[in-house]
Amino acid sequence: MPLPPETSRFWSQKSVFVTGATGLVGGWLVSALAQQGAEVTALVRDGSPRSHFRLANTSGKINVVAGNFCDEQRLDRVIGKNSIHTIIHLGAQTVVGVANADPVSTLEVNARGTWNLLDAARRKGVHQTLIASTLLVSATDTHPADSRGNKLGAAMLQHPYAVSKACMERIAIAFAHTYQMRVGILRFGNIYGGGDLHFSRLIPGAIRSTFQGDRFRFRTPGESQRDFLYVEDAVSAYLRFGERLATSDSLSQKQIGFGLGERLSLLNLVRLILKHSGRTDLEPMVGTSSTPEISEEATDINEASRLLDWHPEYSLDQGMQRTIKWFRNYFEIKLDDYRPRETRVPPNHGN
Amino acid sequence: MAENNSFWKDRSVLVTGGTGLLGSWLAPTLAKRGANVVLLVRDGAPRSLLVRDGWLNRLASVHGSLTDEGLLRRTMAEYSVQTVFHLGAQTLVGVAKADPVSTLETNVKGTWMLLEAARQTGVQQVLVASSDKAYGESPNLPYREDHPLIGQFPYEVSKSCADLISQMYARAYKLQVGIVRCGNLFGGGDLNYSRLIPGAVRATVNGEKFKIRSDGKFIRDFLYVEDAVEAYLCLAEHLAANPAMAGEAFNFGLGLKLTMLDLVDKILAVMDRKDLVPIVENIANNEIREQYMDSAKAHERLGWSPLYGMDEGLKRTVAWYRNHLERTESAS
Repeated sequence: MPLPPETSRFWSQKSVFVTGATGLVGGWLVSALAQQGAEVTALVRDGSPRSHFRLANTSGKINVVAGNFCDEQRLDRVIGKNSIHTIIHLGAQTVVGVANADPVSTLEVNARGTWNLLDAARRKGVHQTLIASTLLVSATDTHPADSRGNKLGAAMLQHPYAVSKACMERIAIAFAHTYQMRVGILRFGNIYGGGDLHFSRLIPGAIRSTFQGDRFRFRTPGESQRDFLYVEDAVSAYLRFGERLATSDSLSQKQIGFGLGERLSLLNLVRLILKHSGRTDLEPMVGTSSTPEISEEATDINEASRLLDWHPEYSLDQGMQRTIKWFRNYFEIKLDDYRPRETRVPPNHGN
Repeated sequence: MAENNSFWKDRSVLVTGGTGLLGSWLAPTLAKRGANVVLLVRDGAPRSLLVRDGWLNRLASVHGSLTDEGLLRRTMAEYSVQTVFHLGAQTLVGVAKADPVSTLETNVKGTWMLLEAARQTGVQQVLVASSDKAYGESPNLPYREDHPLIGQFPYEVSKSCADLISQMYARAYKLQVGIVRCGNLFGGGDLNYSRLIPGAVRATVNGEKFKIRSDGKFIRDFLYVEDAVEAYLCLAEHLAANPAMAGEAFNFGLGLKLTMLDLVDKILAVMDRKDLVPIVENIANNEIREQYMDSAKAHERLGWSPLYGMDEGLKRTVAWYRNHLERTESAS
């Protein structure tokens, strides 16, 4: 990983508690922390045998604890016993469709999970906590008199996922502000990379269908615009923020946006996948569904640059190449799970 | 709203937080207008106005917590609830600071549990008690309804979150939700003497000078409890007539910009004890200094205006405390 050497020294021997380790960012972050000598404790709810966390084979270096962060007593014990210095709270229900179908379980995990975790951090005197949030929240805390306005804010309020994250941030601010805790909030657009096994999501889904030689099918016109960030750049954002927050009071309660600072439509993103897979023949099919989609503003990364000297290392092309490579490797090992043996064909099928 | 309208006649209404200040005035008003009221009551509250006036025994009640999902669903289904007034909350700022988790559990989780139960059982409308506290500290005063909800302390944030979740349920699930953001409520029945108005009235009844812990220059928006009751009823009636209003929030306040010293002065005037000049202790100044609302939206869209306002509200409040304190004294 292209990180300056001082970062490596900072994390060495730090006791770090990561929630959501089996998720996309979690897998890469835990590996990076372990590489830099941190003592990582990972809270894992469900067994996810194929997650990057498992596949990267960090076992032996990581202290894995089973449980979920709605269990207060468990949190207290884990945080106390391991003398945790930094908590990195990635654990969340992040699938927009799941949130729509079941708002309560999403609020339980994203809002209640956060207050339980921060209360445990408060009681156990944890030095600092980094919280994973989303750019969507920025639309809900802007005053209409500000230049950006909050038209998008009202639109966000129809999405249970966005509201659960808006609550999460406010709860984090309340703890930090009231109890003088160090809390940093990281707002991301869409993070992508190897290890995201939610195939209902756009990028893993599109890579899989391309690999299988199928045209990707949108239900919508695919016109909504997002800011996409490669997962290793997200990892460097956490490491950098944690390192700077540890010694800077002024960074506490800051909500900092991370992204490439540019947007791409979902349709063009899938075309990019096709380009790097050498399958531009598989032009995606678009639909007409008007299901409300979440559109984002391009991330303002000036603050990340100014306050943390953080810059993305991977362009969209570079990130996508690495992602496709990861999935190719993954599918080749696991191909039997996806296709019956007799129809197994090389990826140039359909030309 | 005219008291003779038939909207509430035979209407099945659930009130959470019924033994609190607002609930103690709202539930009897609903009953008097013909509604079938059922109360969700968590703890016994022998000092509540609702108990003292005998109303609790005359209204249906279910016992349990807002976070008891099964209980909420059963209650809404069994009583065929059409309208919910969700007033139940942990409202003490100090308690929220001392125990943020239990406050968030009641105020935030309690709200999503209630809204989810309402969605599942087909309740027609839910009126949610938010607060001007949901807005958080701001240089942009008075608060208008489109001000972002960005509290910074546990109680404020619990209200910011409950309000956002209420808006979401209206938009995502087409639930008819009305959100009420009142200023600080005052009126007979509030026995929390750590609050300004009950504290000042009691001190004055006892012939003592009231002690203000801050510098006395803090500004809050206030609303007399009977004006708040009419605000809730008015919004519910409008919401039923105009479901497109679902998910909207309304400020209800007097917007008077009175400092605490001004307010104590008014109380002393009403009680004819201007000689009891308050003592300004100036030891607790770390709260938000100024909070007041613009209630123009409620005036314009709902035709709401306070019937009693500050002066008449204070007179009624003082009369209630005089009577109450005399009775308590003669009883002891």
